[in-house]
Amino acid sequence: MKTYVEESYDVIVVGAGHAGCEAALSNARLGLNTIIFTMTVDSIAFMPCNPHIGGSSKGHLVRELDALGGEMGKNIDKTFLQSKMLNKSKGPAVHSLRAQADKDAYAKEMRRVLENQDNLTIRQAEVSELLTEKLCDSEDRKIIGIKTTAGAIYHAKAVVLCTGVYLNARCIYGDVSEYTGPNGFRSATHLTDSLKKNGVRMVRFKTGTPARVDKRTLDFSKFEVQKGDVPVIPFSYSTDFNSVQKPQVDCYLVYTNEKTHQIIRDNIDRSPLYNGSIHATGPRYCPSIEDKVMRFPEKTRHQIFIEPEGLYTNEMYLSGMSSSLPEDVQYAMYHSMKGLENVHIVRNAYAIEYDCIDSFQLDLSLEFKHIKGLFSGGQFNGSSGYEEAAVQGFMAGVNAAMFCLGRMPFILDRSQAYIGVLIDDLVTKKNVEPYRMMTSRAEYRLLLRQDNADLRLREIGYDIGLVSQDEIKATRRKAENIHKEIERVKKTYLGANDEVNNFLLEHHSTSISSGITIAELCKRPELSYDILREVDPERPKLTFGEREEVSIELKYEGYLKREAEQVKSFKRMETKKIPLWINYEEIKNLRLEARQKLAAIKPENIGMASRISGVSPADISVLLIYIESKGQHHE
Amino acid sequence: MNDTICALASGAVEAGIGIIRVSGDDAVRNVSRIFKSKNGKSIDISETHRVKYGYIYDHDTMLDEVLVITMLSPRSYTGEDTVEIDCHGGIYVMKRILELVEHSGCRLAEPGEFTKRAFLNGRIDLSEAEAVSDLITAENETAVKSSVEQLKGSLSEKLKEMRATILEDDAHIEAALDDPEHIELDGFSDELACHVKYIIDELDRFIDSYHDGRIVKDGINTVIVGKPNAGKSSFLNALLDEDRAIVTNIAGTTRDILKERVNIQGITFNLYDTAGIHETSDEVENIGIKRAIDAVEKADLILYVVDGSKTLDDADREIMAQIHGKTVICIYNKADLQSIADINLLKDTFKYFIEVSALHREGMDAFYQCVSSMFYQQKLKSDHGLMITNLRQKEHLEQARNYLRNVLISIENGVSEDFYTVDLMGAYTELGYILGENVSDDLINEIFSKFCMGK
Repeated sequence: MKTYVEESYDVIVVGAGHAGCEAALSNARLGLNTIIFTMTVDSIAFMPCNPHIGGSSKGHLVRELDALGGEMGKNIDKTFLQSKMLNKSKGPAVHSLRAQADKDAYAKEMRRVLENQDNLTIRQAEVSELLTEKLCDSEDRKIIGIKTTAGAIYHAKAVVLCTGVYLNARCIYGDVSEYTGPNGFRSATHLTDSLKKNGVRMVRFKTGTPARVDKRTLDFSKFEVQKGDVPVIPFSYSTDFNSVQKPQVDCYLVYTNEKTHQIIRDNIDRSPLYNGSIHATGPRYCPSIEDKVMRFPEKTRHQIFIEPEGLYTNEMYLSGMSSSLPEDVQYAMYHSMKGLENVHIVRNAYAIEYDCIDSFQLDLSLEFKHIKGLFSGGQFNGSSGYEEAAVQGFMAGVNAAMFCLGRMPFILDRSQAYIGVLIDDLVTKKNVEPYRMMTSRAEYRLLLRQDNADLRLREIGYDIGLVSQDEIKATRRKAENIHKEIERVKKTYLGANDEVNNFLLEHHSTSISSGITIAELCKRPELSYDILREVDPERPKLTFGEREEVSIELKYEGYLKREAEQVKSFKRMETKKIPLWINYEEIKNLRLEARQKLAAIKPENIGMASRISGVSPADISVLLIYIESKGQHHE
Repeated sequence: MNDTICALASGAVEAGIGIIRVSGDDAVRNVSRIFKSKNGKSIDISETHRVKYGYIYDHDTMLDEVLVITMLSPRSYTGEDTVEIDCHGGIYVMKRILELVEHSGCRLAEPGEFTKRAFLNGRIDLSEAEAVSDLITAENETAVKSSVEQLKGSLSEKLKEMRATILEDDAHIEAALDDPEHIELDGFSDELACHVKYIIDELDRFIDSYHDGRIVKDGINTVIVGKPNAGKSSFLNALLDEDRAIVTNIAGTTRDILKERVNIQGITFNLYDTAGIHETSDEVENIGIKRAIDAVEKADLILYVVDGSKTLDDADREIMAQIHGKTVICIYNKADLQSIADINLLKDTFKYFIEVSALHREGMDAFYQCVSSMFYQQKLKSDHGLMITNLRQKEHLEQARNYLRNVLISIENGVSEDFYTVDLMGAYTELGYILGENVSDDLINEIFSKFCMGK
C-alpha cells in the first residue's frame, strides 16, 4: 500500500520569491504555524532581472512595507552596493530611494532570515493541486490545503499563492524557446490546471530581461561613471544610519547609436515579439530595446545603464537592453556600442511568458472572491517588479493571518499608501499588461511621501503585531518632536530689525517691515526651514528625518491642506459599503456597461465602484438609491 | 464636513416659480449674503422651517422678489442644512440668482447629488426612490445629449486641443518623474508656462461667451428691414438720438449696410440698417439688397419697420416671407398719421408689435421695454459659433482656468514640477466633464505612448 506524507499547518505559502518571503515571514511572526514551498531552495528571494531595489514610486513601496513590518527594506540595507535618492531636484513627494543590490548576498540574507524564523518551515517541492471544498450555503468554495507532485498532502486554513512567473513559464529569444522559469529554473506545470478547475480565470503575460555580460570585456574608459549618494539614506526606518555609510560600487552609463538601431531594424522579423511567436501581453513601461527602436524612431539613442550584479561576480547587467532577438543579433547590437565592442555575453537576454490571474477575481484583501481562504500576491496577480510583489505578498500574507485569527481584513486605501493604490488598481481596473507602480497613479501623492511612510503606517503595523515596541516608540517620539517644532516655529516671530533684514537680503528675499513667524518665512520660495536656522537660535536639535518633515510640512502647507481636503471627500465614499446581497441585474436604471462592469468586479464600496471605468456618477446615484431601498427589506 | 452645493430644483423651464436649492454646511451663511429686505437690510434666516420674504440683491441691484425657506439639519431633504429660494423671475433671473448663490461660496451640484446626499444622510424618501432614480437617469441622458449637441463643431475641437496639450505636458512631467534617468525636465517649465497662458487666454474667451454675458458684451445682431421710405432711418435716428449710442460708423453708403452699436437698458445691440428689400434693376442697389438678405439670415433680431400710412403691398409680403420664422419686432411707424396699413394682419403675424412715431419720438419706451423683456426671457438667442450657453459648462471652464492659474503661480514661485501635475490634471478633468469624457487611464496611456520609458 502506498502511503503519503500528510501534515497540517495554519498557513501555506506557495513560492519563495519576494512576495512569498514577505507572506511567510508575516504569518510566522504573527505566531501562525507556516510552511513555505519553493521549487528549489536555491531560488529563495532570487532576483531574476534588475539588480536594484526601489526607484521612482517603488522606493515608496519599500518604505511603506518597512513601516508596516516587512523585511525587504532591512534586507537591502544589509546587502546594497550603491544607493541614490532619485528626483532630488524635484518636490519631496517624488523623491525616491533606489539601491543597487548584491543579488547573491540579498537572496542569501533573506534565506537566512527565513531559515531562522520561528514557526516557519521551508519545503522544496512543486505544489500541483489546490484542495478545496464547496461551501454548503453558496456556490463558492473554500481552501483546505494543497497537494505536491510527490502526492503529499498539506492541510491548512489559508493558502497564499506567490508563484511569480513560474506557472507554465516559457523563455524565448530568437527561435529558441524553452519551457523554463527565469535563469533555467524549472517551471511549475500543474498548478494552472488546478486553478482553472477551481474556476479561476487565467491570463498570459510577458516580460523580459537584458543580457548579463563579463565585466573584463568592457572598456570602462568609454562610459560615464554613476556614483552613489553620500551620505547613504537607509531604506528601513529601523536601520542604524551609520551602518549604511560604506564604500559604494559604481554604475556606468552608455548609449545605443544609429548603428545599433539599424541592426535591430534589419533583424526585426527575427524577433518573436514582432513575428508573432509571442502572443502574451508585455509591459509598456519596460519595453525591449527592439520595442523602443521601433516605437520611437525619432530617438537616435537610448541610455543603457551598466550595473554590477554583485561583489563576487564579474557579471554586469545592461539595464535598458532587454530583448528577445536571437543570440547573433544580440551580439551584433551590443558590439555596436562604445566600450562594448568586444563584450562577452554570459547570459543572453530573453523574453519570458507565464500564466497569471485576472486580478478582478480578488477582493481588496487579496483573497479570491470565490475561494475562501485562498490569497495571492505578486506577479501571479498580474503585477511586475520586486517591490510590487513584496508588498502584495505582505498584504496577502497578513490577510491570510487575519483570516486564520478571525480578525478583520487589513486593507489600506488610496489615501493611506501607495500599497492601497496598487491593490485598488489591481482589483478595479482592467489590467492589460503587468502592472507597475508609478507616482502618477497615486492621486494623493503629496501626502504619500517616502519620507513619512513611518508616520503614516507604523501605528497600523504595530496594531497588526509586526512592529516592535522599540520601533513604535521611536516613531511616536519622532511624530511628537515634529509636532512640537512646527508649533514652535508657528509662534516664533522675527522682528523687522537689521539683523533679520540683512539675512533676508543676503538670501535674495525681500525685507520685512513688521514681525513675521518663521513658519511664514519658510513658505517663501527662496527660503527654507534649514536656511532659517541662522536667525532661529531657539531651534532644538532634531534628527535628519524630523527636520525633513518639519521643513516639508511648513513649506508645502497650502498644497498639503488642499490634498487633505480631497482625501476627506474621498473617504466619505469609501466608507459606504456595498452589501453582498446586491444583484446588479435587477437594477434597471443602470446602464448596461455599468451593470456588467459592476457585476464582474463586485466593488466593496461606493468609492471603489466610482473608479471603475465605464461607471458614471449617475450610475453611482442609481446604485445608492437601490441599495437604500432594498436595504430596508434586508434588515 | 461637506461642501455646499446649489442647483435649480425646479428644472430649467419657464414656469411661474423657480426653486433654487442650496445644501451644505454654509447654506444659511451663503444665502444670507444676497438675501435682504426691500431697504437693503439683512434678514435673519437662521431659524429652521420658517419662510422669510425679501429680495435677492446683486450688490446694490435688486434682482427678484423671493421667499426663502430654511431647513436645518437633519430635517431637510438632504439631511444637511438646506435653504430654498423660491423666485419668480424667468429663466434669466433664475440663472442670475443661481450664479450669485454660486459666487457666495457654493458649488453647482452634480446630477443626482442632492439625492446622493439625502441617501448618505439616511434621508431618502423610500416611496420616491424608484421615481427619483428614473429621473436621474433621464436627466443625465438629456444633459449628456444636450451638451454634446451644444458642443458640435469648433468648440469641442478647441477643448480637445487644450486637453491634448495639457495631457501631453503632464505626461512629460510624469514620465520624467517615473524615469528621471531617461527623461529630462530642464527648461520645461518655460515651455509649459507658454502653453498654459495660451490656454487660459482661450478659456477667457469661452467664459466670456457664456450666453447672456456674450450678448451683453458682443451685442445682439439686429437688422432693420422695411420698404424704402418706411421710416427705417428715422427709427434708427430715434434710437441713436436718445444719447444711448456709441456710434461707430463702420461702412458706408446708404445702399450698403450701416452698423451702429446702441445700448438699451444695459444690453448692447448691433444695428444694421439695410437697403430696402425690393425688386430693382439697379445693379448697385441689387448688391445692397443681397447683403440685406444675408444680414437677415444671420440676425438675432429683426426690426421690421412698416409705414402705417400706406397699405401693405407685394413688397411688404415679400419681406414678411423673407423674415418668416425669425425673431421679429414689427415697428408700426408713422402712428401719428392716419393709419391705413392692415394693423390686424400685422398683429396676427407678429407676436411683438409696437406702434411708434419715429419722427416724433413717440412709443419708444414701449419698444425699449419690449426688447429688454425679450432679452431677459431669453427670446433673443445669439448664434455665433463658439459659445458656452450652459452654467455647468461655464463652471467647469472656470474651474479649469483656476487650476491653470495655480500652475502659473507654482511655476512663478519656482515650485518643482511634480506640484504642477495636480493642477494640470485638475484642469484636464474639468474640461473632460464638458466633453463627457472619461479620464481614468488617459494619463498612463499618454505616458507610455509618447515617452520612451524603460529599464
